[in-house]
Amino acid sequence: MIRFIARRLLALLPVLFVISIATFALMSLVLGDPVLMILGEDASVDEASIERLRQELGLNRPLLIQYTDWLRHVLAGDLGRSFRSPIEVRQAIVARLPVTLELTVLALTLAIILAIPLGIVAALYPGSRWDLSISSLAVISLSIPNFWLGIILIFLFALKLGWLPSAGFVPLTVDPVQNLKFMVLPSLTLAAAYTGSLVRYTRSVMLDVLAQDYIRTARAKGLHSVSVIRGHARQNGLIPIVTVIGLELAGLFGGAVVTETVFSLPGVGTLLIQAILGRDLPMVQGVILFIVGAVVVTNLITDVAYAYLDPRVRSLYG
Amino acid sequence: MAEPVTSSLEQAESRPGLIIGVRHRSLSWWLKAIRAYPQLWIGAVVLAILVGTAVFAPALAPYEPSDTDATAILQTPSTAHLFGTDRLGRDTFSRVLYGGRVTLAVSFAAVLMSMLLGTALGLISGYLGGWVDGLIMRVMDGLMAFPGLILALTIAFALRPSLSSVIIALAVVRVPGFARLVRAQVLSLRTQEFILAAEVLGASQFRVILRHILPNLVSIILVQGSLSAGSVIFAEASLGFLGLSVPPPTPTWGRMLHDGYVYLEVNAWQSIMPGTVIFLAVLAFNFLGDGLRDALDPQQRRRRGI
Repeated sequence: MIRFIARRLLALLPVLFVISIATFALMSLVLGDPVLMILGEDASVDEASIERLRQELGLNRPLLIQYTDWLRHVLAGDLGRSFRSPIEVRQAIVARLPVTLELTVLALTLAIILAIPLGIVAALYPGSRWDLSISSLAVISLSIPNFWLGIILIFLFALKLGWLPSAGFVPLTVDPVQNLKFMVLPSLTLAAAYTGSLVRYTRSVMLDVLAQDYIRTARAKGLHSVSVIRGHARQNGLIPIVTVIGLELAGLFGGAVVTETVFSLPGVGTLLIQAILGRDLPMVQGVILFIVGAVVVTNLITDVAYAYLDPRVRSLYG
Repeated sequence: MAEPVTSSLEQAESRPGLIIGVRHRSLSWWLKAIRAYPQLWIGAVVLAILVGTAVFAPALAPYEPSDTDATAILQTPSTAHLFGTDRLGRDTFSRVLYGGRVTLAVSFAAVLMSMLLGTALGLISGYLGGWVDGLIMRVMDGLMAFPGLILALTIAFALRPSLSSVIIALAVVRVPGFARLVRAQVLSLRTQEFILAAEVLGASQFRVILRHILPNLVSIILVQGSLSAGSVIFAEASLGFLGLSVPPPTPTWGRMLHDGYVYLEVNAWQSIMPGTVIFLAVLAFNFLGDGLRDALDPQQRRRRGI
């Protein structure tokens, strides 16, 4: 197991290298001059102050030095300071993280609770009316743009019916009930597409598992289909499903950006959008690096979980 | 010796008996095919309508998309304005028609670009192997670690808002998907006898890739293209909604939704109508992709008796 984890970590190094190069290059080369970004591209600023600022930020140095310097700071957990407000990027992310975390965890839980039973039912009766309606619902929820779903939910439940607040946020620690009221619609919105793809995946995995010989044996023994699922199919089907849940988390992080914007939640996603619209380079760089880091770590955990759940994979690496 | 088998498509052309009943397409065959793949046809018809209305927007639109009318601001749907009007009194129906031109053209260009680039990289990577493969695939892994939308946001941010930067941003996100898919297929094709035969006969690497491997990948690339098109439209609309797609005054579906969202309490139609069209377009591409995948899979086809 340790050897497996070590191998996976080693394989991660080149990927992390590419990510760091991409983030640095994209921001520093393509973007043009960060100095002008700070000064707001005002033509009236004189050359001397531009030069002074450039000196201060260390932008006169060769790119390779700039990159290694930047990387050293990042590895030490220092993501720099915002151009726009007197806060550290890391502090801003940490302050916004609980909202995003709550949103993604709620959406993920909702999706898993809905998708796995539905997927199994569809796989048990392929081609039936149940299967058709579940599969069609899955494609539909997969195709609904999350911002549009969010708007419709706000329109129905907040503006027309007045059951739930349309936008805003109360921290969980301040008032849990109010907090949940604010989170219901965003979690539903974020969960929709994820549920759709998870249903489709569960269905296809279960179809494969149910076609195996040992399932036929179990059925031939006269076991009820519920026992077949519980005792034989579930365990084997769950392994690939866990992998997909982990891999698709990346999409969930992307969806969170849009969902937070629709519902004006003060999360990491809205932080990114504000930073982008305000052309706040260190903030954009930091948030993106943080999100990509989170994706890489969840993928790693998924891989390890996969090896842990599946004795065949585990035995490959001793 | 005759040319080795080049592609399943050419094979089908020269030996019609191989693919069941393809040659004799009677009316009843078509009816059967439509019934066997309802998704494919629903997707195709909806798309045809959306593309058609976008292409013929100048003829179909009752108003100019940028014509403002100060006497008719934020109206709800009526016979004069089918989808109502926006905050400047512009006709939403006309803007949806014109917006479709931009959204669909941008998405089409992005899919085409990612398809060409991803296929080329996948072919090179899979066929050459070695350090070239390692390098290309590590870069693809790195790109794939970025959530799609966030990568698109980053690129759109770095390149400044314009039509071409949106196309590039959307295309880059989709390249690794094509590259990985094509590479995996090439790896399994490479060891097959017809490829070995071509190599033994002295065909150049270039020829083997283009004449023998690529034709076998056409259908799988098309399916992936159709499914990607749905995601790309979704992504373009997301960028538009976040205010980072093609800059105004050009109408795009996402941008209209963004503008209408502010007036949700006054007139929800301004965000609901463009959103519905985006939903339909994404759904249609997903239907088309799923249907194509089933229809191009001989096993599935046999099961459905086509």
